[in-house]
This record gives sequence, C-alpha cells and structure tokens, in this order.
Amino acid sequence: MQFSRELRDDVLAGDITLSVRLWTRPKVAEGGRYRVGLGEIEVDAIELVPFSAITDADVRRAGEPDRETLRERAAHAGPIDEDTLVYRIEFHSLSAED
Amino acid sequence: MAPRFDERWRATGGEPFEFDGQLVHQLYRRSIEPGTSIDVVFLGSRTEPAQGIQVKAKGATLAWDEHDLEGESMRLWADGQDRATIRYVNARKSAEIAIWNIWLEVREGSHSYEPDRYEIVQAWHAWSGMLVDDRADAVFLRCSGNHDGPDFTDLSVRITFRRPIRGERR
Repeated sequence: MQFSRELRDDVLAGDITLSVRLWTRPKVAEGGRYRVGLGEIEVDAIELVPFSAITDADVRRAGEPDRETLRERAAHAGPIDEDTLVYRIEFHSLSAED
Repeated sequence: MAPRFDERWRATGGEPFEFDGQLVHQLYRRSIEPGTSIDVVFLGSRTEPAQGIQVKAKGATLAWDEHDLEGESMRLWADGQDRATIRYVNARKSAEIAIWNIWLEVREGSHSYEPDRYEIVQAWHAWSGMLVDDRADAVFLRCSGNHDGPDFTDLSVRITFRRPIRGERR
C-alpha cells in the first residue's frame, strides 16, 4: 500500500495504524503483508463504511489533523461526502516490532 | 441434494474432489521464478456476486504496479479490470504462489449494531471451487462462487506466467 512520503516514517514507526481508501473493491487481504517504503505493514482488518462512520479517533490513527484533511487525502478517485462508502483499513507496522 | 462444496472441503481437508466427473480444486499452486510476470485476463464473470481471485506468494513479494501495491497477497476483481499484471519481485529464489477464487457477499445490516450495508469477501465458502486446466505457461480457471449452486461459469480467468528474459530488469 502506498502512503504519501510525509506519512511513511510514521507508518513504519507504528504511529499511523489506519488508512481510508476510496476503492471500488478491496485489493488487500486481512493478514496480508505490504511494503511501505523500506518497511512492511500487516493488515489487521478491512471494513467498508460510509465516511460519516470515520471517528475522530480514526482521524488521529490515520495521522491527520482533522476529518477534512483525511477526506481530501482519500479522495484520489473522486469526491467523498459523508455517505460515500470507503474502505477503513487497520494495520500495524512490522518494522516497529523489530 | 449434493452436499455443498464447503462441506466437501471440510470432508477432504481442502484436497480436490470429484464432481460431475470433474476434479474441483480449492487452490491452484505453482512454483515461479523471481521476475516472473503473472498476466491475469478475466474472460467472463457474473456481476452478482462480484467475482475475483486472490493471489498469494508466501514469504515473497508481489507487485501490482498499476495500483502501487507491493505485498504477499493481492485481490483482483473481474468488475475492476479486464486484465492485470502482477510481478514477482524482490526475491532470489523460486516461490510457490497460490491462487483461489473469491466472491463478494454484500449484506444488509439487520441489527442496530450493524452497518446498513457491509461486505464479506468469501473464499472456500458455499459453492466455491475451481476447475483447473493447467498448461505449460498458463492456467485456465473456471470458478464457482455463490450461495445458489454449483456454476463454473461464475468466473473464467486465464493466467499466463511469463518467465524473465535473461538480462531483463527485475
């Protein structure tokens, strides 16, 4: 899974543990390991939820200062409103466990 | 009525079984060299439930460049693209990949604690199974993936394995 350059260090350090993706279908699998920069993460859970279900705690786990920044970052493939279904992906860094 | 395929999988421990004179598989396994490209072409599929395949290389890395995805396990959906190429990268030795069919069950939440709509990626469940036509550099999979009954036209996919050309960048 690709993350913006400015987020990668925090992902690998284990400080970011959640991502929101506007995918049509889930491309990754629970338990799957994915490369991020020079490290790896393991996906713990994938859930399809409306964006309105993303909580403030999720925003913090995604490393974003607020919901609008998270919405903007996730909206690569089209606009995201409160009813838009997004994939909420929980993961942990394998590098941080070393 | 014949037992569902998932009951058959439990009985055989995941080993292939015979159904209507054909061998039904749960997984397709193949050893591939580093640098191999795996070309997936979806030849046909039903739309409901959505059909796809999962490709997994245990302990090795696959790259799906189109989606900037690198990892050990990828899910490809027939309604997402007609074809896709996945590369086996970052390894010095051969690895075994496993491929199986998946399908997407969409459920409406019926309890207050459930969301209105949620998805479950199903594999090896209900009438899930594959007919495998294995050839030298390709495999054809005809897959059944649904709750209703055995139907190997649910998903047809051709997967071609292109071995690296000497000197080609991996």
